[in-house]
Amino acid sequence: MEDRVLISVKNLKKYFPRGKAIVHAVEDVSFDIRRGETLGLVGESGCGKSTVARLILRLINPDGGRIIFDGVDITNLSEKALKPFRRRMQIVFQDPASSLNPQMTVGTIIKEQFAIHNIGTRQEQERWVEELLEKVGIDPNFKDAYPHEFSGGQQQRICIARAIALKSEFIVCDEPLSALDVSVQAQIIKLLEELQKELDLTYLFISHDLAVVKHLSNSIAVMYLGKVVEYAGKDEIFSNPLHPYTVTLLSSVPSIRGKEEEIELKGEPPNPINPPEGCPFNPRCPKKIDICEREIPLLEEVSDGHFVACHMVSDRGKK
Amino acid sequence: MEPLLNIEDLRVYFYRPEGVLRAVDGLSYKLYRGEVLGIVGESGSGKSVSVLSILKLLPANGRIESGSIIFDGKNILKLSKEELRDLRGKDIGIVFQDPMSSLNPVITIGQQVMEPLLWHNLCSKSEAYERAKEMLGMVGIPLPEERMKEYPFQFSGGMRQRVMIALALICRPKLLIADEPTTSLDVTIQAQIIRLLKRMKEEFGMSVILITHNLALTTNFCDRLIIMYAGNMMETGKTKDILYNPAHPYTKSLLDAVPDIEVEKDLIPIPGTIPSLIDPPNGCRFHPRCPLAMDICKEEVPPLFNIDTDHYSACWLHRRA
Repeated sequence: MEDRVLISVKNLKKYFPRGKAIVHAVEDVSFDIRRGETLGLVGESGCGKSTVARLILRLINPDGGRIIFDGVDITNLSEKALKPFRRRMQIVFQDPASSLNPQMTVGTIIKEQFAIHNIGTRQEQERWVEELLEKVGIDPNFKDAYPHEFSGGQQQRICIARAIALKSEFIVCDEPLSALDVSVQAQIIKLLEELQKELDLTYLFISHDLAVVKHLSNSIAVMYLGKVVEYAGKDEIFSNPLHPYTVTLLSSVPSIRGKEEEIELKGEPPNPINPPEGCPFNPRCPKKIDICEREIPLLEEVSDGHFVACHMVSDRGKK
Repeated sequence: MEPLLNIEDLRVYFYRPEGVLRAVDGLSYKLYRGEVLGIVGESGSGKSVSVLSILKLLPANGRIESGSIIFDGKNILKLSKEELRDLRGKDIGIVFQDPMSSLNPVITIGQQVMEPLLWHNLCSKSEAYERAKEMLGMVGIPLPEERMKEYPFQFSGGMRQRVMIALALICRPKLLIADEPTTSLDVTIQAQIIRLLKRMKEEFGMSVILITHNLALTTNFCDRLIIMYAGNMMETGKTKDILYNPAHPYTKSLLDAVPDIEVEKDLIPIPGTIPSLIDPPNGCRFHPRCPLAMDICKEEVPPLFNIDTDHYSACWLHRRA
């Protein structure tokens, strides 16, 4: 199984200076993503999900930890050594309008990928652009149109075409549906699913919409204040959530079927400049015990593939 | 029973350089006292415009073309500016999507929450202070007296939305309009705010209009729903009837297209995109995307057909032969 892991992050850390203070954006994040699978990364705004994505893509450099891509440690690779890896990883952002250059035609935007990495003749590049647009459901005859001539959903399709242009294996989807209308979201979800099957893509899917994450992911990591607090297979996490934060998060998601029991989560996430002592969730946790205020719980495997960072769940808390 | 709000054949158009945009095109509905009505639709469905018209809060290029809006026995469209101002913030309170841009950044929270009481001359300044303090406590702001001295930037998004709710409710309005009140908030905070709105509704007994794009949000809160699409009402009925027994193809498609955390299902996307309201499709505005469209749908606008008690659907499929 181990060799199927495409992305592995270990103890990732990232701090941002803000004046004299330090924002603890990512504090010890570890997980694996297997080839052809989707990891859903969920958590409230400010919990560090997008920072994790940018670290994995090496758009920013970590302050600690390691990033392993297909068996190679890319954490400290130079820009030059990194370039072949850049081809293999891509990102689709939340707002398609602001991630497409308004002054370039969509054909040129996609072609830029080939130019940067110097592949194909001009004719080949033209043909690839048409094939890519076709693949994401855009009429290739519109390749000379500008981004503003397309609807939001179509713009996101173009961003996806760009992301798969270089046959990348790994794609970060950072809230790719949030700017789209409800009736259009399902089209993009379907497209992502189809492309994954066809091209054996590996996704890191970041979203605050747990219903969408549940639909798309194989496994899920729940983040809170820069830390992964729970990490397990999708079915396991939805049927057997163990961390008190995951439990309240899941019960907060409204459903057409209504909710059997709603657990109110009091208060709001603490400030990452000054994170609380011990477990980051302890000031809001309904199950807090003494140790939670003193010791940071470690992410421990409680059953096969199910990791939780909670004193109440791990053995140490029970003693 | 006399409804609190009775809207008939409302048409709101926007005059744009490209042409006339028909944002709301012939909308009628009633809202009863103590009732919670959910207006659900995607962007451009006219859900916000239809409700902002009640307060005549339209941008300069927007015009109410025709129709009538009777609120508490008064025809709003015939009121003078002064009479309208008496209504706003006193009989009708409103909570917008983005609390940061709805609060004045250079005035303290305390002053802002007191303002409606003082503006409408409802009580003395010292009483307004006490009532603001009490109201902020009720909406769940800890240490209200101290926080009244602070400014909006010192509040988190969720806390700001609580302030907005306090502000909207301070004059004990007969109607509270909540326009996407949780869209910019995280899901745990969203749950807190919806729970707060529910509690306030029980406390004060006012009518509520909740505008949202999220059907799931209406389940435990709304008594009745209106489903809007491209400026028209597609379906209306009791919340349970709409969610569990939808009649209109658009409502059905929407339910099939949105993943739900409690329901395992295959998603069926709705093909195409929302039409332009400057040049909307003839007949039923959903027909170009409708899996069941018939010839008549392309030509004639369907009226509301009765499905069941209080359940209506604007679809030719329901016409009885």
